[in-house]
Amino acid sequence: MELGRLSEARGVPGREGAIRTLLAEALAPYAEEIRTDPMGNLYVGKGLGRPGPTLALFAHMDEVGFLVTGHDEDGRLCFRPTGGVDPRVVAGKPVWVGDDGPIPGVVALPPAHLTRGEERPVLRYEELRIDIGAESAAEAAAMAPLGSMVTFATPFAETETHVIGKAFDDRAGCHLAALAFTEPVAGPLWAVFTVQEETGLRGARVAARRLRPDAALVLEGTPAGDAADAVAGRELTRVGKGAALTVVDRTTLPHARLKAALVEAAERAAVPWQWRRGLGGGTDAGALWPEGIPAATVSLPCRYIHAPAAVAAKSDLEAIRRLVAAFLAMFPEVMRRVG
Amino acid sequence: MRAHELLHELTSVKAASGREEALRATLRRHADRLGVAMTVDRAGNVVLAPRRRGSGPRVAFVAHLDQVALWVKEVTDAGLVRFVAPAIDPRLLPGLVVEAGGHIGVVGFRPPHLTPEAERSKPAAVESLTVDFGLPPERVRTLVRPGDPLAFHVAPARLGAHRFLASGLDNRASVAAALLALELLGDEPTPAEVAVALTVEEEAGRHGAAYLARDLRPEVAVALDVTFGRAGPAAPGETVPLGTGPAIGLGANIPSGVAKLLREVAETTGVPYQWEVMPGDSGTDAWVVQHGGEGTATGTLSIPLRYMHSAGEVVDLRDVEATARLVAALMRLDEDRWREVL
Repeated sequence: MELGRLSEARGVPGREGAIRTLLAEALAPYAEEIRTDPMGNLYVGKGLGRPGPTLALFAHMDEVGFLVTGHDEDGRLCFRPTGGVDPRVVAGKPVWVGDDGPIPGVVALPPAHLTRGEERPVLRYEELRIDIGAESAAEAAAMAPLGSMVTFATPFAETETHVIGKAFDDRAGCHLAALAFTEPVAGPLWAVFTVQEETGLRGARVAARRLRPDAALVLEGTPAGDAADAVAGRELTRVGKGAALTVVDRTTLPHARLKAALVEAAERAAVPWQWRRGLGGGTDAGALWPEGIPAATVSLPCRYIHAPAAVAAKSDLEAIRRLVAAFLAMFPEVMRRVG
Repeated sequence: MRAHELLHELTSVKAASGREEALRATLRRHADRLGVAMTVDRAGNVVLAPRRRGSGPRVAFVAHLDQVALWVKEVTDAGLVRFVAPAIDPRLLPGLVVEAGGHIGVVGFRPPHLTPEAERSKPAAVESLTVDFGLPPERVRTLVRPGDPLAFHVAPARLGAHRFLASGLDNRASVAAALLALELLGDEPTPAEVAVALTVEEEAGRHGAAYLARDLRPEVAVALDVTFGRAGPAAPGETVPLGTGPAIGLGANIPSGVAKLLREVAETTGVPYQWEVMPGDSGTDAWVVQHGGEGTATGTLSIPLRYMHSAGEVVDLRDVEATARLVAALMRLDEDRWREVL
C-alpha cells in the first residue's frame, strides 16, 4: 500500500474507516483471515496454521485532526483538536472538512495589517475559525454539521531522497506493516491496524486483549528535532540516520530482549539505525506490555509531525523495511530467548 | 470567462514582486483572446488598451500583478532555507507548504515536544523557522539562491456557493475583474483613452505604479485593489462585508469628484457598492499615481478580501463580477464625464 495514498486518506480518531478499507483491500490477496472489532481495529493474519510463536505488527490508522464544534454568525466553523495539535501550526492552513466527499476550507485569523507585532499572542482554538464560504450559521451547519471531521489538506509529494505529506504518524507505520505482511513468512503473523492511538492508545488496548500475540512490534512515525531551530542533544531522532529504536518513552520501556534483537536485526540487515533519545511521546507499545505482551517500537524519524506536512527520508523507510524483514526471519529464535 | 475559472488560472501562476514574468505571459494570451493591444513598459508594467474613438482624457484602471512571498536569506549547511517574510503575520508560517522551482517545501519549526513550556506560549520567531525541501544541501542550493521568492502552495478552490479560496487573490481578484471588464466591453470603442495598467512591485513599495505615473501619464486613474473583508467582530469602519460589491474609497487619495463619479456610475449601472474611508494613504497604487506624475485624479475600487497576505485568501465571486461590471461601465463613460473631475 503506497505511502502517498495512505497519507492523503483521511481519518481522525474514531473515523478510520477510509484507511481501514484501503488496507483491507490491499492486503486481502495475501491474507488468510481479515477481522475487525467493535472499535474498528483491523486484524489481517497469515501463516496462522504454522507452528511457532505468533508475531503481531502494530500500526495505528488514525491521524491528529479536528472536529467541528460550532458555527458562528459569519458562517464560519468553530473547531477543536482531536489528538494533540499545537495551535501554533494551525492558523492560515488549508483544510478538508467533512467525513465523506470533503469540502475545502481555510483556518482563519485576522490579517497582519490589523494587528501589530506586539499584539500577536499565540492564537487559541477559541479564537480560530474555519472559513468554508458559508454566509450564515445555518448554511455552515448544513455544509459542515457538528462533529464533522477536519484534516489538513496536504497533497503527498516526494523528492529523489525524501517524502513530504500529512499523517506520516502513523500512515508510515501502516505502509511499513502492510509491506512486511506481503513478504513470505515462516510462522504465524498478524498485521494489526489500530484506531484511536492519538487519544490514548485506545484501540491497541482492545486489540492486545483480543489477539494475545506472543510478541508485538510497533511501527511508528516519531518526531525529529534535527532541523529548524535544532538544539544539540535534543533532536530525539535525526532524519536520514536510519531506523529509530526506542530507549524509553512516556508510555513504555521496550522489552529488553526484543530491543536487543532489533539491534541485532539491524546489524544483520546492514541498515543504519539510531536510538530514539528522549522521553517525549508514546506508542501503542504502552498498551501491549500491561497485557503481558512483549513489545518494542521501530520508528520513522519525521520532521514537523502533528502538523500540516512532515518530511521523512526514503532511506529511513528502506532501512525499517529491511530491519523488519530481518527481524521476522529471526523471530522464532528470538522468542526462544525471551522464554 | 466565468469569474472562478479566470481566478483559478490567474492564481495558479505565481508572481512575487519583481518576478511577474510568468503572469505577463499568461496576460499575453488573454490580450490576444480579448483582441486588445498589450504593451510592456520599461518597469515591467503591462498596459492593455482597448480600441477607442474620440480623444478623451487618458483614463487608467490600475491593478497590481504581484503578491507577497517569503524571500530566501541563506541555505544552511544542512540544506535548510532561512528566509524573511515581509508584510506576513509570522503566526501563519509554521507548517505551511511553499513552493520554488516546481518543488514543494515545508516551513519547519521546532517540535513542541522539544520546546520548553515557556516558549510554547509565544509565536515562533521568523528567525527560528526554516524551509525544508527534503533534498540534499547541494540540490537545495541549485533550487534556490538568496533573494529568490518562495510562494505559498495552496490549491485554489471554490468555497460554498459564492466564495473563492487561493493565495495571491491580493491582487489577482482585481486583475480578473479588469479582464472581465474588457470582455464585457467587447469590440465597443471607448470615448476616453482607456487603459488597463497592471503594475509590478506594489507589495515591495509600489515601484511599478510610480514609473507608470510618469510614463503612461494618466489624467484619471482608478486603482483596483482589495480591502479588509469582514470576518468576525470588528469596529465599524475597520472592515467591509463580502458579497455586497466593491468599496469606493473616500479620503485624501480620492478627490471627492472622483468618488461621486464612481458612485453615480455604480447607481446608474445597478452595481452594488459600499464605502471605505481612508483618511491618509489608501495603501494602493492610487497613492503614488496621484502624486507621481503631473497630478492625477485618482479613485479606488476595492474588492473585500478575507485573511489578507495569508496563504489562503478568500473573496466573494459576486464582488469580482460587480467590480467588472462597474469598470466596464466606466470604460464606456462619455469623455465629458471624465473631464468633470480634471
